[in-house]
Amino acid sequence: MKQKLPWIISVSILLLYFASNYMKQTPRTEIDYEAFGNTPVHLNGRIQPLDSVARNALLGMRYKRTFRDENGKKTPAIVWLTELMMRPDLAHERPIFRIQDEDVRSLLKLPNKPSKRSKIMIALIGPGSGKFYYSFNEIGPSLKTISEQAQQASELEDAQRSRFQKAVIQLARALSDYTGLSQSLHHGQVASFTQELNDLERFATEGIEAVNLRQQGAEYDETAFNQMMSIGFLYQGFEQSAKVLTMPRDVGGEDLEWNKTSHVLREVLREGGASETARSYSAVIDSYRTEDFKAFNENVQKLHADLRAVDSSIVSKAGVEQLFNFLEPFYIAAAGYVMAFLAVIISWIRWPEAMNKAAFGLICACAVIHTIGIIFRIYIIGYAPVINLYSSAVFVGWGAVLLAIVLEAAYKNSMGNATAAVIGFSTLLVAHHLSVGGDTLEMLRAVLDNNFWLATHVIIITLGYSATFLAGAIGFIFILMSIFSNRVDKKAARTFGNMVYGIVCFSTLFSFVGTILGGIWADQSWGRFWGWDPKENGALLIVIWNAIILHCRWGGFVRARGLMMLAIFGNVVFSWSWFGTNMLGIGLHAYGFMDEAFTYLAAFMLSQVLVIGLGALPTRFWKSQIA
Amino acid sequence: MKPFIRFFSSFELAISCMALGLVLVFIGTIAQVQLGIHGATELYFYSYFLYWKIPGIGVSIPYFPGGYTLGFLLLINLVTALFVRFRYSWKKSGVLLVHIGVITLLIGELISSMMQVDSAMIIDEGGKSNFSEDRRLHELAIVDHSRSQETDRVYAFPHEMLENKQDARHEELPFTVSISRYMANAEIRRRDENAPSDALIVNQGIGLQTYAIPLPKTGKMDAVNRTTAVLTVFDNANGEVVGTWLSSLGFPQQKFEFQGKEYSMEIRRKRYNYPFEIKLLDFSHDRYLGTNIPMNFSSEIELTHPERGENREFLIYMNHPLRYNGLTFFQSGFANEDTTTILQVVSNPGRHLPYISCILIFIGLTVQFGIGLISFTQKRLKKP
Repeated sequence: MKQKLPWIISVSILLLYFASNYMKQTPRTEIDYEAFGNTPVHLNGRIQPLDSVARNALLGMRYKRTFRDENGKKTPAIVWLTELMMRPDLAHERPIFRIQDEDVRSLLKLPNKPSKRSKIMIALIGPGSGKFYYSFNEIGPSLKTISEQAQQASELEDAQRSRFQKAVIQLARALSDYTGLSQSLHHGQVASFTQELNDLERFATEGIEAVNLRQQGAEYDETAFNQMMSIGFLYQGFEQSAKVLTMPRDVGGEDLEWNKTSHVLREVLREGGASETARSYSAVIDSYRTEDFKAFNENVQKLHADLRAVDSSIVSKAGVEQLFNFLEPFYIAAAGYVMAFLAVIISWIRWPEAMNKAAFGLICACAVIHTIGIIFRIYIIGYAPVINLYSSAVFVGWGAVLLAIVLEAAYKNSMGNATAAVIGFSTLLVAHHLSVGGDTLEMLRAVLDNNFWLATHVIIITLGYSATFLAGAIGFIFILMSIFSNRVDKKAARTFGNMVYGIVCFSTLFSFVGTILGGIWADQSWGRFWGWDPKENGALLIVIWNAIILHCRWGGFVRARGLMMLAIFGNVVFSWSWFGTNMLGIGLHAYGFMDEAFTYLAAFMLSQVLVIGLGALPTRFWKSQIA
Repeated sequence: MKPFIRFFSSFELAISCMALGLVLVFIGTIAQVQLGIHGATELYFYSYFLYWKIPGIGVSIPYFPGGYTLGFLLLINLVTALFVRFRYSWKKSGVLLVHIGVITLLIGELISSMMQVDSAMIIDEGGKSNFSEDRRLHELAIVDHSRSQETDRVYAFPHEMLENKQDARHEELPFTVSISRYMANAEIRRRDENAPSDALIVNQGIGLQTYAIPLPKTGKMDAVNRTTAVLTVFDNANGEVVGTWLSSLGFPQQKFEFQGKEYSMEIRRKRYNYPFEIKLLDFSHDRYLGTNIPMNFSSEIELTHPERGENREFLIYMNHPLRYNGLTFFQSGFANEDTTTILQVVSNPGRHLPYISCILIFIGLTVQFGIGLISFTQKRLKKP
């Protein structure tokens, strides 16, 4: 029992944290934000809940999925989006645009804001990013300048843009998203949307008649005609500025037809009245504006009932994605990997067996949560798990963690736990930074839209990368551990060597077969097996490097230590193929753009080379005697 | 002989080749940023050596083995190792399969690099085509328009002849076209006072209003090398100059009369003619709702082969090409607001080899590592 106690306690802490994180996803207010966030809309080529729209939009503007309300309290994105869509005048006061580039700030003549942190906190952890946040009203006067500058910058190729120009383009994009969202449910020119619809319906016959009469050259009512024209202009503007498709309708085909809210004008004029969906939306908006929150909650329910009437599955499918947003499985798993790493460290200092068991328990729990996250993504998007750089990071980590669990189960020497924790956390951290670009659940371009190859080539090669990374991580920890501690002896060194050898074999199999399958996909879809494209070359480098490691071992050129050093260099090759090739900005695979990441990549490679250098130190300087 | 064989079959050679290959692939990939994918591939991967031009002297010295050298060395190494070093046993059967797989892969890539032909067939909706055009190679086409009402006779001279400034002559033609100047890539400008004096030798056609400035050749994916030449036509009977023309890729046919017959000259993309015809019935391009992300491209075509009496319809779309007559037609692009399709036409006699090698390598590695894994677990199970 005593042995199991740390295991039970630590896994319980993780699960409790999981639950409490879920609980705080919606604020406890009179407004049922959870229900409203569940409302399905169509954006970026797919149906998603407003909750996702809110999170991704805020991520693109504020680089976070939450914002701080007037009291400085962390608040879910949906609260902000609801306000922006229905009462933009209030939302325009919220500082949600993060403008970090100094040149952009001085261009817009934005004042530097004082940090909200206390002096002690500033001294300890810096002023924070709070001072970079500006509201739409603060930026408002410079909208023209921004769009001019962005226009100029967008004429250049991405590689040629300066940091300032990139920042301006990003800001212009964020502003366009922002205004698009604020105009998605209502144009905001009149206070009551319901009243507007009533008036429209009453006026429709008269207005249409005036227009028809004028077209025929007969006498017509000029006031009615002019009114009809101004309504037309208003709705044309509404149509153009709205970003989200809100109104689904069943047109008999396989897919629903989705329209913007402005479509309601056509409904009134052509079909004699607004659809139920439009009516419910107007009621929701009006009750929010009049702050009748009880009615708001009822109207949201009515809206969902109408949407369900169009298609019974869209609300529940959006609900699944909302649940995924609430669970934040990747965030929880990342936190769990950190806990597991701490447990491993403690196990090296004291209570080796009990704490190592606790670490293993945590790793397994994290792996389950990690898997749940991947399953959610597959269900939501309907593709095999790896579709972009973000998901490849999530998947590489997942694969490596599973392999490490197998190693730990076989050897029980805490190496599997340590590497699983390190890789699990670092890949999810990388994924988190990749997600700042916006919606990571994106639709696939025609050429990639093929689940068979996504499920074979991409999965296999990504598992190969997982293994390469795992072998490198074992090498990394081995070298540091043997130099700075006396924990490794001759026998342990041989065991670690066997572990790395086994993983390298696995990696060779998967990366080799995966690479050739990629060539076959290329042959199938655009007629050449191998085009020396940067990403293909990157995959080839990994295969060659694995082959070199195996031949060095079979030829007897290296033993445990050399094998470790070669495996660590595998990390350099791997990180180059994974990210470096995307930074070149050429070729068919250049799907992920990234610049700042280059510094991190270089730093990572350097750290690996440094440890290889340490490994080359003569063993008499090592604390452990491995030979 | 023995030390030779030992050298060629050695682990050291294999590892060195792979290590050099690693460096080559890396620097070749980096070079693609400057040279473009195609340019760097020719220079680094489809070459025997990388050369460094000593500045000032103009002498080039090889400083690194190219893709062919390393590929051939590896191939020799693999084959000799198969005969000399390998101990044939069930235990090693996986390794054997993998190495045969790698040999197949290398040979396949060698065949592709030398024999693969890529061209594009561009068809408008409702239109048809019986030829495709090379993406990189061009040709000099001299057309005799006087043969008959319906058909012209075309004399096509390949790119190499332009490059080597070889005279274009044919027994049926009463004149010779000599290449006075050749530019692998050029910019065409309107003729004005800035035109260099050597542009003034052109005294016929479009070249009277324009002149060409040579540009370095590009290997970038989307860029086109504008092959340009100054062409002088000589009368075969007396050797007199008929006229001098400027011709460049993208110029229209330039017509001239000679001995009462009408001819024209043109530098155009190299054409591959087929005994069959493809008609584009419909091209569609779907995007995801509310976005510009392409969801699907497809070309509905009708294929007619009069000699074989064949006539059928086919839908070409992404990941679903038409394979016909040893050629593969892929959906590669579109133009003119989605009314024109661009089909990539590929012939590659080595295209089946990677499939074979994939299977061999997969089985080989699985068997080999499987054997290793089994013996490893058995050992562990025996040891408590």
